[in-house]
Amino acid sequence: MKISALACSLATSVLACGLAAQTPAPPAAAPSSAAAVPVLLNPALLLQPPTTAWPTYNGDYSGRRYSTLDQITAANVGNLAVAWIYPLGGGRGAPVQGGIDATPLMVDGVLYLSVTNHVFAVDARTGVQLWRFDWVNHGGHAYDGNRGLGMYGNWLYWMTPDDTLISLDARTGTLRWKEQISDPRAGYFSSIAPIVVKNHVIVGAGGDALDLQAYLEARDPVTGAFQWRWNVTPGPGQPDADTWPNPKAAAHGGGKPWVPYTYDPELNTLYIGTANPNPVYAGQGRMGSDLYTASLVALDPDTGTMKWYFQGSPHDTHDWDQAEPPVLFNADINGQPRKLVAQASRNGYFFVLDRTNGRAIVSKPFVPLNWALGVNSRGEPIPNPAKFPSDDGTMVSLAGGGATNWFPSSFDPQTGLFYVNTTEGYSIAYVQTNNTDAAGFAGRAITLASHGMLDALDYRNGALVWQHRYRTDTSEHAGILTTAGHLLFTGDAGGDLIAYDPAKGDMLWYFQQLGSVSNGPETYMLDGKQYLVVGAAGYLYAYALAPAARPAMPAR
Amino acid sequence: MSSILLWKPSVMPLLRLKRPMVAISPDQECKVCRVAPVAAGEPARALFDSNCSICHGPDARGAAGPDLVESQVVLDDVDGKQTGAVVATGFPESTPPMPAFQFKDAEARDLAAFLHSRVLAVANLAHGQYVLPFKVTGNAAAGDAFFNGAGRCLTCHSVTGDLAHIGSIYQPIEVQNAFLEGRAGRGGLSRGRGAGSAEPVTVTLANGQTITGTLDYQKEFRIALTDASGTLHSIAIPKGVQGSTPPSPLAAHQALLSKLTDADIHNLTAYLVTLK
Repeated sequence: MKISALACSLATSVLACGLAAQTPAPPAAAPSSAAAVPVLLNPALLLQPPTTAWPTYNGDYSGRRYSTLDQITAANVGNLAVAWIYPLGGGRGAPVQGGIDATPLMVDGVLYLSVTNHVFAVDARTGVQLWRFDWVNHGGHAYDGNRGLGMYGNWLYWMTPDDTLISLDARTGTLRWKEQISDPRAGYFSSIAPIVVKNHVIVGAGGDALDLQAYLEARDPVTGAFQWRWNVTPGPGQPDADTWPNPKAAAHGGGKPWVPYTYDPELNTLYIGTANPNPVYAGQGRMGSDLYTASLVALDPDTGTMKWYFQGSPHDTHDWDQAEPPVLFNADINGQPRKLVAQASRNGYFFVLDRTNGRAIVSKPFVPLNWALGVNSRGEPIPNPAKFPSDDGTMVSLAGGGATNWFPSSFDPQTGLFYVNTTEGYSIAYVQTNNTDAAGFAGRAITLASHGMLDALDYRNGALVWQHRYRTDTSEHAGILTTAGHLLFTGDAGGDLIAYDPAKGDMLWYFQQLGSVSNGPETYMLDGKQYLVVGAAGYLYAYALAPAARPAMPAR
Repeated sequence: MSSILLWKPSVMPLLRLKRPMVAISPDQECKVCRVAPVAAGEPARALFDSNCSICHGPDARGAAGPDLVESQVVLDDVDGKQTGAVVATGFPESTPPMPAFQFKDAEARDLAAFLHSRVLAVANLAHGQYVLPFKVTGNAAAGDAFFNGAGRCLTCHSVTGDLAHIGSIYQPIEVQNAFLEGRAGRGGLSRGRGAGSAEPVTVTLANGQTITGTLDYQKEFRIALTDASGTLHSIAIPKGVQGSTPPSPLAAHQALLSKLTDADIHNLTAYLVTLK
């Protein structure tokens, strides 16, 4: 789909832009008696590689986290220096709990950032806080974390931990409306960054505490009105309901989609990774493949209709969800141009699928695995029942958290490589009960050993092209950014932000921060300077090339 | 110190231990409950058992009637009012029908408090607030043979020395996790410190000079140690050096993980728990 950028000129109303994206011939916006309000985020930006903005969680819809910016290069990265540091909360008032998992949005010189209970706007040139929005969490759950915000025109969208979709005015941080998406008292917990596609704000709730129906919901960006809901697990009589032993197991089977989705405008398709089934470790009450949990699912964003699915972890029993970011790119397979989606899964498999139909091209482990018997004709792993968690303990060759997690991976079209921070190791998993009425996690995995590394994988076959084994243990939260300057940015668990040569894996530059990289690094141009912005636990760091990194002293 | 060629030790452990997992913080106060769950004493339990459990199950998780732990009425309940209203009218049209009950206000409140306590109990279960029902299933004789043979445990351990009485010191599941992680015997918890952290480290510089001391920290690009005189040596690790974490007495445990079968693990546990 090609959005009509002209219909979304900066002076038209946000509403008109939203309609322009959906209807073939939008009426011209009626002149308002009030002066036209400039629109901060031109929706056309969402359909281009971001350079002067970072308008979505992944920068653009593709999830590649590759920037075409090349002011900072492999040749000059040695001059990269701190431009400013922003402490969460701006260094004023009560300390802010939580670390930065979110990738901040950057639109029109302002960074928008969120943690579990707060949203902040920060001057992207100086790191000075402009406003904050505080939320009191009534959820009562034991989780923490927030992936960030969505934006539409002048409006921000944010999911509170207790499952309320909030819309804020980006200029002031004032509340426009709030809509309850799920009931936190039932055990739902939200951390996702809303994804705005055309005139849909798409969100989903997470939380493994209780065995709940998982779903995605679309809401109207103007009013918050309900548009559609897609249930992750099928109801009685629906297709694939027979992958569950009974309707109750399916209705309580979880699979909550908690990591931001990606979108292909040409195919008008959303790509969503669903989470692990519930009860998490005790699978005896949900024998079957448990669709569509732990799956990569393609949805129509206008209707919520499923186009296809690919289950990366059939009948998962280890909390290995499939929620890791689905990365969209077009590249050749055997000389033929293909539309692909790639995903490095928590269960240790690297998948590359044809994203028009979900057919597997690559299903290959990227760490040593002993839990699968191979893959089926669809390319989906076949779990080995002997490796299910048990009451006397079953050891698998993956660390307790799995081989990777929600933190963003990256695809660099210049190298043709897919990059992911991963962990190899061992864990032993126990069940809490052998009965079929298990609830929640219903078991536990103990990590016995783990070691972190950065992998560069060939998308054509999953082959390991290069690997860096960290001397320190891996960070569990460091995402990856690649740029046209032939650079890859990510971090280790010792607080180092590191620049690599993405082709060979050589380390070119590092800086020791006050915290380890805790989100996906981002980059944008502002005033002719390329900035690199990185979350480090409770701090946001901005870097640029010295000596221009620091603001020039104004003439006096 | 600009010309460092190599730093020792060259023994590169396959894997490095992770710190013990931080437990999920228990949800101490029941924020989902609008009635203090402590109010759910014996009378409420008795009320539920004699009137409700036949349809809703002994633990309120549902039987012929619905699961009340996930009931919207219970979640919405304040002070027993919503629950009381449903109980007073019943659901005569439902299949099977729910009859009306004549409860006093205080009884309805007690009943609601009991149901909220069930919600809390399930939430705590879900958050891991329970003891795992671990069972020793292995063969102790096979474990004994493995300990003294293929497992090569005798290289470092003795059942009359560092592992004496380990079966009385630890619960069986702790024994199993501890020997897999390598933190119960001479190098581990019984010495009251973390895995191998106080072992001296030696760094060899390019000019052949060696520095030995206790490790202060090691990062990707730098290693720091304090020598016997108390002097800090903060050393940049040059490009190309393949050194890794200092050799750990646990390296053998970590190397063993790739060879152990689940049967080996269970047998070894069955043997070690006999060391009372």
